[in-house]
Amino acid sequence: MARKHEPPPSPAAAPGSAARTIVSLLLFVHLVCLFVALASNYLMSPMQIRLLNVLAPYIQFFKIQPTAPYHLTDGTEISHDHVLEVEVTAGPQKGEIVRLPEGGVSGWAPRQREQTLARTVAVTSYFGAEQNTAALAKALGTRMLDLGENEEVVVRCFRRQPQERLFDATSAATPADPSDDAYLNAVYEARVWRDQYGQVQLLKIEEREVVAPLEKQSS
Amino acid sequence: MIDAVQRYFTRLAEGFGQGWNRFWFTPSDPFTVCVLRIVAGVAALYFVGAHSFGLVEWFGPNGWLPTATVQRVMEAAPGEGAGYQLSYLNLISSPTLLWILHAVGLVIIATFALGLFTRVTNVLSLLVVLAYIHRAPMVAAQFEPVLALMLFYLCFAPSGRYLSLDSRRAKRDPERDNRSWGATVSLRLVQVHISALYLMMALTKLGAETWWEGGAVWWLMAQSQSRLADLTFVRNNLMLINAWTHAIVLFELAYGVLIWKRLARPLLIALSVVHWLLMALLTGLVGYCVLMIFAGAAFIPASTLRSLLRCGGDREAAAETEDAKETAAVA
Repeated sequence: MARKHEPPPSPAAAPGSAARTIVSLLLFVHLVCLFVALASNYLMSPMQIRLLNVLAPYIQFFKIQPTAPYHLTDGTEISHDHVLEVEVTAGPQKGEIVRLPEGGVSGWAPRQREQTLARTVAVTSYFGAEQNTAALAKALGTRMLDLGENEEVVVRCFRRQPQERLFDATSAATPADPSDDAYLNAVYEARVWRDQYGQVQLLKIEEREVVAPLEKQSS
Repeated sequence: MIDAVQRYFTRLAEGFGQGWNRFWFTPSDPFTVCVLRIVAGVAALYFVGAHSFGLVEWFGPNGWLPTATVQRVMEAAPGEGAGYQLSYLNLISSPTLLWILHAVGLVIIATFALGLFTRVTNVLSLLVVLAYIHRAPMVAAQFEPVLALMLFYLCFAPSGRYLSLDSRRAKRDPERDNRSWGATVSLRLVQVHISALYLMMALTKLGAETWWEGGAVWWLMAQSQSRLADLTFVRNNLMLINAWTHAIVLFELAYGVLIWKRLARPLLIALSVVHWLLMALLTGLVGYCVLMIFAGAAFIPASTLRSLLRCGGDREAAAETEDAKETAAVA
């Protein structure tokens, strides 16, 4: 399409008919992939899941499907801040605790990576994907076992409960400092150790009520 | 009656075809994609460069995320598969080799940002960035897909024609028509993707109750660990929190739709700067918010960008003023 006040495009600048047809076809396919990928960011229908599986090689390789929550928050526990903690419970570094994220400036990419990892561990736990939670916890624990030749560590994931808008600053349960540990709620906890054969083992630590439900007292 | 229906569909097909060709294939000045190259190059440098802090701790042999763990976790997610998370970093077990490849990756991206051997370094930069994303997809956040899309789409454009070392090396013919349809395809892809992202952001927010109730901004500012600034002093002003929440959704909806309207575009681009700066303070997602501000440059005509950056124009620059009109007509 030539404009009124400019020369027509040179042959090199304008695409030929065959090139236009091929590129149009590719564009159409890409736009379909883009639509499917973006429309699946929050919730997915069974059809979307099937389409995502079919289109996975393309949309996953080029990272067209954004897996991060673009709604940023839904006000529920999933979108709150989370913290990972690895405590050495047996071995030369006994008592040492590593927290992720720890230190650094908020907004700085390495710290955000730690925050995202903590949230991923929590989300897998919330959704009942315990195998994934365990796999991630095991990886975190193994690093601490190997670094200090430790015998056992405990991996914990906490949710940092945000303050309510109108909270009671005088209550001990809700300190004024939002980074106080009183706001940490345990999401996942597991023991990680190396057995006699050198294999890393993981045992989830359940709340007492989950392991052995309280029985009703007989009157 | 049947004739009328036939005529309608014939006109519809012709109109769609003409509009499609005009939208995607009208050759345009590649100056805007050259600016986007610098934006994407700097963002990629930040992304990969930030991995220098804790490179071995994360991706090394005893790192937080061993390759086997990542592959196992990714296989379970819908639409995902470890087979598609290709990364050369998965093959490395030596810290020394890891550092060498990291340094090479940084050099490639810096070369791309400077516009040297741009066509080749663009593709290589994309592969480097994707390698880091795919090495640990579970720690990818909102920033990475935006960066990847920009690098991907720029592969189709002559993004080294201006503001680059390539342009200094090349002998330029003043009579040469520098307009390119590859630049148009690339720019349109970025524009469509960005506007679709805005719509997706708004629509996913509308799927969550807290954005309807007006409390979402409070939940963002109350995340003491991730926020950039403590804005909780507004806690007693519920109306402000509600208004801010609704304004975010309204703006993102408006941007996704009205950015295609020539008249609304300057206003939306100016508002997006304010929007993303405030979002950076609220969420702490600094890289993502800054990248979204600069990605908006895709909607600024090349002639305007030239005058903003005080770069001399070629003869095709004068023709750029019509671009926005065409976009509006097609939209």
